[in-house]
Amino acid sequence: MNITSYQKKLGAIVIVALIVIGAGAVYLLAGSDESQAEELGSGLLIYGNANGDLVLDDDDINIIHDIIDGKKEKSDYPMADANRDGKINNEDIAVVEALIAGNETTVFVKCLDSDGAVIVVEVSYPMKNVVPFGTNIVEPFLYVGGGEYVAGYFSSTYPNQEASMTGAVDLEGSSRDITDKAWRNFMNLDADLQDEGGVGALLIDHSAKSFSESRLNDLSAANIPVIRYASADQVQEISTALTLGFLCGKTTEAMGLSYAESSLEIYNEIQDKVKALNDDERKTVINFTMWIFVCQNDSTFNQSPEYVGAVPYYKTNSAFATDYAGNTSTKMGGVEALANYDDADYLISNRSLDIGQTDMDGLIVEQWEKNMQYFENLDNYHNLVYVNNILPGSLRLAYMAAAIYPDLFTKEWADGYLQAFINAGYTPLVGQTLETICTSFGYEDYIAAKG
Amino acid sequence: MDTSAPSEDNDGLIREYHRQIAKKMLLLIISVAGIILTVGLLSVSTFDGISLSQAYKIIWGHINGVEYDYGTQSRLWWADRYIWNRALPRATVAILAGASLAACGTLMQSVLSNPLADPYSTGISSGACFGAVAAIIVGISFSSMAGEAGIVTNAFIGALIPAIILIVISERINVTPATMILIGTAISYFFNSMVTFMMVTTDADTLKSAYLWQIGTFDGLTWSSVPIMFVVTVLGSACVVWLSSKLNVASLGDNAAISLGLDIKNFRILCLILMSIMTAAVISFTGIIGFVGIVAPHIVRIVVGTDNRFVVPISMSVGALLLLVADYIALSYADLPVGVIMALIGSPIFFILIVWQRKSMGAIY
Repeated sequence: MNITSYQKKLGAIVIVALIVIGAGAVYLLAGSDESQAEELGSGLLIYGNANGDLVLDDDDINIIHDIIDGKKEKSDYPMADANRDGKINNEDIAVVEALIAGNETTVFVKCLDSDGAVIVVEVSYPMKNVVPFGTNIVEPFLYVGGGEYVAGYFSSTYPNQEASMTGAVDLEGSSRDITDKAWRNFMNLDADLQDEGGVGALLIDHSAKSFSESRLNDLSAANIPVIRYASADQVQEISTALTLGFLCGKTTEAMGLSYAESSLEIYNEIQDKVKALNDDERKTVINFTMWIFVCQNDSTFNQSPEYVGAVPYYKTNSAFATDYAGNTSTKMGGVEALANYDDADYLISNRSLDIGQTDMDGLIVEQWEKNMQYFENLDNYHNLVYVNNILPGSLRLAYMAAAIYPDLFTKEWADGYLQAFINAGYTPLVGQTLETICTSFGYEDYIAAKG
Repeated sequence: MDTSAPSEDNDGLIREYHRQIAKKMLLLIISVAGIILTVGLLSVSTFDGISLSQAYKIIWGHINGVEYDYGTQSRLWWADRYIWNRALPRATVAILAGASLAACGTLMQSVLSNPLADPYSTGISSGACFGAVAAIIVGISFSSMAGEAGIVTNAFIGALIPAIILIVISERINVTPATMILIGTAISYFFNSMVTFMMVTTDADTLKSAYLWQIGTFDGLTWSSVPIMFVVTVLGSACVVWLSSKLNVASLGDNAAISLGLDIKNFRILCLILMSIMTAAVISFTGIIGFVGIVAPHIVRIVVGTDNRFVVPISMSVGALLLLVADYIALSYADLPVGVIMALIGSPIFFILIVWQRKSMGAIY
């Protein structure tokens, strides 16, 4: 059948309409790519902490005095400018003294913006009425006793782990997704708290990508500080806990310091033992989140193998590196997704599991079998290990190290550190035992649990 | 000779004419008033301490440049911000989507001479769904854009595929309403099988995202979603209103339309293109929202009759109202996607309409 002139006109109309709409859509919808998080540094991320260590103390005041007296260079101590006015003088000393005394003041905090760049935000000290978002920042905040300073939270799926927040308002939504209703609840909460200065800060886990630009604009307009850390990274989690603990006052500051020192002890012990490993002894690791999301090369989670002396698999396989370029995670496209990459020594699955478990065997079997079809045909299936992602970061490293290097570390060794954390009284762990916390499990644990 | 009978007949006809006009005006006024009321309700829904009158004051004040101090009028400050950045974009999208889908539903029911036709009868929803799910689950994009923008463009392009297939086929065979619906059904089955394949191989979290898109939701929509939808809906609706006289002819059936001088085949293709672009511009942002395109025109036809010159504009206002009410319920009471509430409202209304019309009204298109 011949095409009529009428049909040609129709075709032209369609093409023009599509071009106009398409061009409009591209103009209106195109967004910028994500950029990678910069290194924040470790230690207490508070201006005034001139020497960059774990505490704000007389040493910092002495450094500031020395800079004022010309004995030290200001450029060597960028954190010495406590009030961020560009000058080092007695006003900085006054701020640091107020913070050491626990008096109300304003504090400047180093953290990340939504692109991962290092920024500085201004926070009222002591910080209160906090709203955290994202499991990886909620947990360290609770470990240092931050639960009582939480004014509202986005619905939790870890009721036992996050029990200390129950006095706060449930804003609904979830730890991964903030709905319009949840955001309206947040607005209401801030309005309700106006007599107390409103919401003190919003804490965001950098890996929680669902925090939209329009909501960040709301926070900016309301002058609500946003403190964002890439706390899925176990070393950054230490400075996260330390800094957030400091901000809430003297009690949490002490807990934060204790937590950081304990964490660093574990981290340093692992480093001491793995530094003797030869390159050919170092195991390769593919990291996962949410069962079957492969962590991309620059994912925060992909730091963990290096912290325990292993090598992220992408550094040894260029095809894998090409397939999984980026800084988030990619869902396995099918059960064959890793068929060409089953020469990785270990598959580490970072899985958040609530504490207070009563049926550990049932939990292990359920978790293991949930997406087993993606792994069971891989040569390295028996080296799949689940590590509980809501444990303190250093303990996650300990259990990971025990799984990857059983000759150097044992699960009992890691259990010893967990018991020490329980004994130290970090809030979520109070009342727990080694039997109620799922730490890590692998194939043999699954077989044993299945009976 | 008695001359009073014709005069009484004329008076009766004039009264009936005025009664019919009044009914049309009344329905239009009710739906427009309902839209204004629901926009207010949507603006204050569960925002503590803000009344309906305050919501309108805030809207009016914002238009006139009134600003609130965050420190001393925090609740009003947030309410102003919430209404302008959340509630009104949602309401605008609901109005545009409701109007557009209702206009498309009217168009399809007339042009296919089928009361069950809706904007999705030609497989447009399955094409859009395929595009969106491909982006959500597999990460395949028809464009260079990623994330939310990639999903929107994928859905838009996917929605147009069935229309393009139909146009190509129409060059080779004589496309009747029945063949259009059958081809649409075949396309739907094909895309649905692809979507099902993708969904059964994914995990629960991704499945939820894909499924939510299929149901239709206004969550997270901002003003940036409005311009494309607005331009397409306004221009498209103007075209549908302009074509409404021809729709009356088309709804008489092919033979009658041809005898009245309408090139029904090309007219049908023109309507298909128009409907596809209008629907794609909506559902690529909101996901697939059912029942508006089928329920709104039927409600209107019961009240105002079948003249498309009236059915089209009044259906648009009723469709907008229906979707606004569904969104108000979804946001305020259920915290569910608007598509779920629309289906909950729409299906019983549709059922009642069918039963009612079978009993007393005759044909429903």
